[in-house]
Amino acid sequence: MSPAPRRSEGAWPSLRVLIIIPAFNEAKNLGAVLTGLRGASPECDVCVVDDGSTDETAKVAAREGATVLRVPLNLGIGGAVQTGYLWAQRRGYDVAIQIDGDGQHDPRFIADVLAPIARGEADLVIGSRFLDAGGYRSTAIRRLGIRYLSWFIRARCGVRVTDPTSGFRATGRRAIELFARTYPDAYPEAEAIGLARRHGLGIVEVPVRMSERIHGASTINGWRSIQYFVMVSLALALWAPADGSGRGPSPDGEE
Amino acid sequence: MLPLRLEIFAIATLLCFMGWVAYLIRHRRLGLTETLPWLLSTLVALIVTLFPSALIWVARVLRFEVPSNALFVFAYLYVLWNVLVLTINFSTQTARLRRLAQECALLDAEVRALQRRIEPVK
Repeated sequence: MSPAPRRSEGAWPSLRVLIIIPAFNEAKNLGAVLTGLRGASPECDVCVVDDGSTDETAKVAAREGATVLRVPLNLGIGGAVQTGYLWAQRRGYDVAIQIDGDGQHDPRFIADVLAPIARGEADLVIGSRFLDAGGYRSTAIRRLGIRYLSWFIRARCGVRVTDPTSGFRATGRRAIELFARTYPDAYPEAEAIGLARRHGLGIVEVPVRMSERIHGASTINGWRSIQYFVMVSLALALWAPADGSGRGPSPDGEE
Repeated sequence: MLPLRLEIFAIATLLCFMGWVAYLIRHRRLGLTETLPWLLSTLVALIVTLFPSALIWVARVLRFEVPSNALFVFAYLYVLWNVLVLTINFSTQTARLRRLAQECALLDAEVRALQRRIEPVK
């Protein structure tokens, strides 16, 4: 595949769209994900961020025709996703769409998350599984945690997001610039919403359908999920509230 | 005030420590800016050892019951401060390492793309 951005021939022919798939040891799931993507939106470029995998992740991705960004160390999900945003920024993509490499996200909804950006209505679109699209909705205990985070983000950042942990999202130019410069580290999805809000970006949600991952276990379970909610709350609480003044992160450009 | 032998022992220990730090800096095994907190705080400890009355005075001003308690408090703060400086440093390094790894990934992808253009299909 040519690394130069192509123009989309889909619904918005003027947009150059990059799909970012962070992957750590996802060789088993990635093939199906990439095949599904090619079928659903062949006009988008796909880049897989191989976050220091020890399996065949990079090989599978290259075989399926994706651009592979091989991170030499395991940075964790935040660092991996940001690598994708850096690529999108350097290559001048108009839209970057983030999708999990484990097959949870249905690629047929790409057009849906893309639409508000293409229409200029938002900078960050979050695909939510709680807005009437059906499908898998996670376990009861995790739904409770998600409800809590949703409430917390609304109270702290003044934005209504029903599925703040969703990793299915689309970003426009302004959000790409921001995320290439600064992206949260350990548990980035919810924090990224706060970050975007703090920089005055427009955030909307659209309904998407999710399924359970095909192979392997999620990285967030049991005690880890409690740690997750505590850390995310802390991060959201400590950072400056939404004021849209664009008061940015440290001058290093890195949190 | 302080028994002479004890004072000599304390001063010798502190001087050895400072000497060791200075040696490490000279041989570029420690950065000067990172070790400045250690040097400064050791210098303060040295002054207190040479003039114990300074410590007694500070303890009295801050209403410590016994001057040795003040010593423990200050020693604890000294270590705490140095550890915090180290943690700040560690966070900075982590952020830099992350950016470096990302740049490597981007460059690696660029190189492979160029390679494919030069020598197309094997």
